Amino acid sequence: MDTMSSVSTTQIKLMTKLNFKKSLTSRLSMALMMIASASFSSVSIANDISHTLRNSADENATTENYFELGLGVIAGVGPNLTEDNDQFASGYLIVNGNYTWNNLFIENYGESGEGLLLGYNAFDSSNWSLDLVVGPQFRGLGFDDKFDDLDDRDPSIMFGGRLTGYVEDNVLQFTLKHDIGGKSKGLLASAIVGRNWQYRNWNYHGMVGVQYFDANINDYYYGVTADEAARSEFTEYHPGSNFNLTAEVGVTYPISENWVFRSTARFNTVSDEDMDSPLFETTRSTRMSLSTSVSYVF
Amino acid sequence: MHTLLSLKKINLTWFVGSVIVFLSVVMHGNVYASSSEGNENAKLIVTPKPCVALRKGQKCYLEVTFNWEHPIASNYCLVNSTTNQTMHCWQQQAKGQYSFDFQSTQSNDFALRKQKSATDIARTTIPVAWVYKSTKRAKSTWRLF
Repeated sequence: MDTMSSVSTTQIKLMTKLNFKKSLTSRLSMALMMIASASFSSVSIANDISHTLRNSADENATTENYFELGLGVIAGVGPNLTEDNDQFASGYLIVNGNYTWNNLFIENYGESGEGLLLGYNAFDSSNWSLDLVVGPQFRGLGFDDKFDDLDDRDPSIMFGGRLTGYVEDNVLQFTLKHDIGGKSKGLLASAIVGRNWQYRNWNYHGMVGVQYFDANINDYYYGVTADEAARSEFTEYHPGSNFNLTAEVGVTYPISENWVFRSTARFNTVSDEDMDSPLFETTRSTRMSLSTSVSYVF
Repeated sequence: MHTLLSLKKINLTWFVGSVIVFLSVVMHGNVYASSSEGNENAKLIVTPKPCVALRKGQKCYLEVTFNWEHPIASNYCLVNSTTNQTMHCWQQQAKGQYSFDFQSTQSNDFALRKQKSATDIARTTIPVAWVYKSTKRAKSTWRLF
């Protein structure tokens, strides 16, 4: 499961509300899709740990309520659903925020693919924390006319647990979620380990992990049914489950009390289950990206 | 009528109180100046500031430079009054400059003092600020809905 699997809620709203000329809309959609596919989806599960690593160097500290807006640019190489080109470069909007009330929380880490997430902190110790989370994830194919003959792919409502551990200088995060919305009826799991380092006021982090997407998710988003094949140019396709390896290194720097600079390099493998899908125009076995952003923290 | 008189009485009381406070401040300033000749013209400036860390509780790093002046040349010391540590001393100088690598999780106060004196001639602060507040996580707590 990769490419269009996730896009932040902000981007979806942005795509919905924009009412420019079609060419501009199309270009914007493409840009968002590329960002999503290149930057977000591959580490969608990892971003919460990424946020933890970026902002909470102290193993016993969590970030309090905050809200931030920012702009970023991203460039890289990866599979492409609509163009015969594996390179991409674009700008993107960042909306990050977290609000906690009586162990209930709502968070949106804009650079993640999870988008808006509601959660409940069910357990918290000095070393481990368990959150129950629910939120929309993955997206459809409505961004390009090429997929007009296909059925809609709606976001899944993924519900599950997120276990985060603080072991010595490492942060581990295990996630297990299932679609309770009845769209994909899929299951995903991930295991990520990361750590951070501070050099003066520069906060570096790195993490590696593995993600699992079951056949239901892959089939719903990348599969082509017999009916769809009969009325479109695509051949019937039913992918199985897959694993992705993912890695990320990044740096976060406080420019001032309200401005934060971030730069991130991401890498992940792309499975054959995804790349064999007839939906893809350009296939690759890996995806790499480099992004840089500046955000204002309110 | 009674209410009006009460209001006037309150206003008069407030006015007299304000005058007393004002005179106290002025007189205190005069006493301070007379006991420390030239100190009111002493300057202690540190640049740049503040020191900004990513989150609260994190150590903040900043290369800072202190500049000080005093109308009368003497033996002066720059002191970190938060840690009570003498940073640097000058002999028979009327001004000086000192740079160092500030590293702290909290704001620090600094003062210019005469050598072997505990009286601050001029003061300044390096504030430590942060972008994200942090809270300590709880210990072993299960929660039920």
